[in-house]
Amino acid sequence: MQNFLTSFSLSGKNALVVGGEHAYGPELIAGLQAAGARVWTAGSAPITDVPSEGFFPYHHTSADEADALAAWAKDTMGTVDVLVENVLNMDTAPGWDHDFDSINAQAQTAMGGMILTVQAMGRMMAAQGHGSVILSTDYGALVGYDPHNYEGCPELYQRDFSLLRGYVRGSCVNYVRQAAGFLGEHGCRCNALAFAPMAGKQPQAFEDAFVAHNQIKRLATAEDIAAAVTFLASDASVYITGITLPVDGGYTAK
Amino acid sequence: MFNTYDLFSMKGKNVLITGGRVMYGLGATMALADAGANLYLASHSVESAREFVEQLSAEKGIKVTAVPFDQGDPASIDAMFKTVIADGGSLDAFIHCSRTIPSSTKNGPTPWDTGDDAIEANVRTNSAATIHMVQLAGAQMVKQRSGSIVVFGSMMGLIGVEKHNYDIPEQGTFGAVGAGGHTYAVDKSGLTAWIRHAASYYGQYGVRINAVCPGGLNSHRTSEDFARQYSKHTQLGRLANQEDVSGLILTLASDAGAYLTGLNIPIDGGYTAL
Repeated sequence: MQNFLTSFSLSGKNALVVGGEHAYGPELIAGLQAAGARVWTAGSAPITDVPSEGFFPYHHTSADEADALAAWAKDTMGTVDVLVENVLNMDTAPGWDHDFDSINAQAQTAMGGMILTVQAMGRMMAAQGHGSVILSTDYGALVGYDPHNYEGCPELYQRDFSLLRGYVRGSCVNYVRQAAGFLGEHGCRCNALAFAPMAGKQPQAFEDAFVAHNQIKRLATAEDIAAAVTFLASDASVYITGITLPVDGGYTAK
Repeated sequence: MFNTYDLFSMKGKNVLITGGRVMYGLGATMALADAGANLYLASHSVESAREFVEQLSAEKGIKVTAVPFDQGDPASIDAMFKTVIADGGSLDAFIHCSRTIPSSTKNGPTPWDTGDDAIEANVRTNSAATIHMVQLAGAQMVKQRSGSIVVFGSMMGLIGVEKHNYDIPEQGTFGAVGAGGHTYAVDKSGLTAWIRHAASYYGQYGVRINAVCPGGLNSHRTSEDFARQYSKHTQLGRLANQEDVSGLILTLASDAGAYLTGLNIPIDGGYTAL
């Protein structure tokens, strides 16, 4: 038997990260690169803190735009072995009171936009006959945020208890199952990653409260993001499809 | 003396229900009517609802009011909540059963190739409108410091498609591709998570929110082949009838469910447990 550790390597693989400008984006890109992948990016703004092989401006607006993304990916990357869609980690407008147009605009970008990307890129990856699609979200996809974690940081409460946040973050959990049903017979997989908040990015009061409720007594690190995305992107997970993997130190396991 | 049966009573409670005249919605309406609720039926046509409203009111001895409702029009939704709250003085339960399938949209050759106008319309009239409606119901209930919201999710917000159920010639569009519509899975999946998110928010104000997640309904549109294959994948061996939801809806809407919130409850004859 071949050393199975080589199956974790992304050496020789091409990855496209969409929406890398949102939370967890730089860590996802750097993690894929550290595992050996070449990474291209697409989104509403280039990411400056990590290098990329190429960037495509992409705003999750229309089927034509998504088709253009897929055509660009085919031309510049040749093969897309890994697609990471990170739009669900976008900032939703803070607070609970929004008018319908604001609700609709956010839902169109995140949920409609995710569909457009997966539809166009899935079609392309199905034609290739292989590929791993990864939808990136946070732990709000699996549980409600806990108001008690926000005592002492009202600004963060406004951000996380925004009207649309749970809807957007959770819209991938069953979508990966649905998409896996199409992609499976074409040799492609579709999974989601649900991350805990990253250490050092929130007020101390929140981080202390979150850790107090967590089973592993810390928040997520860049290494945790890197390891998880590498696993789902790589051949180490070839028989895994349709799952949402919590990367959260056990927070949602309680 | 305490009587458990009284917990299920909806007497004196104002309840607004969407989609309450058909399919699972009708099962919900009958339960709430039997429990004595003051019912407001959101209706795309108040005129066409008139006969149903008069009959239900006479049969059950309750007040039933049809209010105009267009799920595709935010202004109509705003007006509906204003009307109901002004007339009833409170909103004790909001039951959202209605789902709109926009008719003016085109799809590609397979369900995987959903047109972006269809995606846009579905996100707008289902996801965004649902969030908007719950927000309006919730705002009133937060003022009251009480209330129960019940939204219809779906089995399809909990699991993926069993392709085999659709490997039937006359339903071949599903079978040919293996995955159904993108928008339904995304909407219902988002709703599943959002029920927990919204319950976290509303809990501190004494307001509850839950989802019921039904499986396949036995209706006149169901083919015998589909019914047979689908039923094999349920533990009870059959499709659902519309009244299968009645007991759960009443439990969640009434004080019988006073400690239930943030739940997505499958009503599927054990389909998702297999």
